[in-house]
Amino acid sequence: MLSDKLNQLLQSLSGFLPEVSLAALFVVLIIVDLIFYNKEQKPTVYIALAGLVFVGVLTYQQWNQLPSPISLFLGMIVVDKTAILFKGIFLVAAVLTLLLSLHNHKESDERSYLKSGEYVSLLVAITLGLHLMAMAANLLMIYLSVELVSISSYILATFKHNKKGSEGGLKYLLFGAMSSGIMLYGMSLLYGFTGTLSLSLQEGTTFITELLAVHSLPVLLAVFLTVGGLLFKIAAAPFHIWAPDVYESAPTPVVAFFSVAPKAAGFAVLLRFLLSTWLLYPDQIGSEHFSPIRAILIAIAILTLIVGNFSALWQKNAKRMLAYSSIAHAGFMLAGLLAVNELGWQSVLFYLVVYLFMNFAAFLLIDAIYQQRQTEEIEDYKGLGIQNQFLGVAFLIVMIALTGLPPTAGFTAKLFIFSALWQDYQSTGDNLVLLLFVVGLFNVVVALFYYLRIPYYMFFRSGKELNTINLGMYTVLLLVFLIVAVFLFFFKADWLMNIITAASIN
Amino acid sequence: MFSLEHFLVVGAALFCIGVVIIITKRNAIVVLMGIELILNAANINLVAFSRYDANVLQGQMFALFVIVVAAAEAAVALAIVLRVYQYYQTVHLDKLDELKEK
Repeated sequence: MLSDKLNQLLQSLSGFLPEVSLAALFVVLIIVDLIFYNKEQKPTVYIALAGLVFVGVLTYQQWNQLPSPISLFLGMIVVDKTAILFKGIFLVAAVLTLLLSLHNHKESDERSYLKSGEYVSLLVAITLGLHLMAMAANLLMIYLSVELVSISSYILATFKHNKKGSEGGLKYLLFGAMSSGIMLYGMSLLYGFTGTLSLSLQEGTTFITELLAVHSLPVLLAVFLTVGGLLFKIAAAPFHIWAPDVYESAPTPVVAFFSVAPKAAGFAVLLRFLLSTWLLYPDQIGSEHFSPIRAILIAIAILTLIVGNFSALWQKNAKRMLAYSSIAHAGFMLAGLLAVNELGWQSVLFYLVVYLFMNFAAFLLIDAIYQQRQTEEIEDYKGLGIQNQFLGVAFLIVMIALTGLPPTAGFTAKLFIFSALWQDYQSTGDNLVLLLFVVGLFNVVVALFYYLRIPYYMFFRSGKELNTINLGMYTVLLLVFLIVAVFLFFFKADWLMNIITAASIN
Repeated sequence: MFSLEHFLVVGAALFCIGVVIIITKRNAIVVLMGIELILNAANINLVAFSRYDANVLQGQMFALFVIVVAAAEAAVALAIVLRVYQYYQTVHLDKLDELKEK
């Protein structure tokens, strides 16, 4: 008995190589940091970059060698191609974050975070947590991985050693700890109703058949307490209050990472939780028992879209504006998830990949301007586009992509989401879905105003003549890479879509 | 004798007290105590339900993990609270107002 289980655990390790390597990398980074204690130049960033690339190679091999989904560690985690695709997203995000942290950094006080090895090792720890989130198939595993990501994020959010940094970190911590507590209470109720923590459908007593035996009101309550914690991670309204403060106060590379990777992981867990338990499929479970779940989630998506876009209109700080914009993007992705069909969640994956590149480009631009001018206020961007045409044009392209206009991949991503919603409306005739569709379209128009305000200020308003902006080769190359990716996924959207379809077959 | 309901009522009461503390109290440390109450409410539920689980240990194991995570979270939380105190000389949440809508 026991030896069987131990054998199974040992065998599971072979399917767990990327995560084992991440954990090893974390330890190595801490030791290297200790060895180079008190030295000016530390190799931690480069070791982390090399390590993450190595993990990327392992993940790619896993993708090629995976015939069908496998369940590891007695069903605690499931490795399927969707999870591996998510892992790829996290790794790219982590590498880009390190590259952003490296770029052009002067020995100023605010950038001292790069000197401490904890910064890099915590980033690796978050990446490990995100990997586990993408694969978790058990309530315990979901809770543990969410907490690994959250606790490391609280520390990273305070890494700007100033007044604002500490305040943002404390706010993030209090909101985050409360929401994970509420999620945990929901999970404890779900465990009580079903008698199992496993979400997978293969076992004898499945999650959903047990849930169907209970009266729907307590189940709805428990599901919403649980989903609330995940909605906090993706910053959906009304769980978004932390986002603007944290985005304004945390170091910019960290913010870029927060806006993409934990959000993607939140969607990965939501996908697993809602789809593998069939909670959104009344046809599959043969009952309308849980239809309010979908209705309320649609209401949340609509609220998120409206709150995100309309609050962004009034923002004067560029990072705060991007915070609200990221809330609005979460609304679009939630809409894609709620179009309960194949195209729906494929479009969410597509959106996430595109969002990764365009959001990192936006934060890189804001960071580059901050380094030259020490300002993140949109007012101060006046005339920058005339002074430095490359910067202006890059900003224009990124903002067009974030709005969702052709010829950028932002358009393709929104197009997929809307077609999934329309397809769902045609098959179900649900008026709520139509409402979501219309609100979504309306919000794209609203988004146009606040995104294009920045390039407008840059080109058509004259600002104070200050020192010229000099981006430097490294920043320019990184920007060109990100922008080429944004164009590439528009002109060759089928490349990415083929990968995503391959990921969703098994 | 105690039945399952007794434990669930205690758990629910703790949960509600925790939420009310978080909403009404303005001292960061007290808010953290409210969060601990929520976590322990969940723990009571988990252990109580675990009694009726065919393979009994699941809920109890979960509760153990929650205790460990809560300790880690408290360590990080207190470090951040100390940091805030260094800059503001207070941990009163209403007085932390550098970040807000302008």
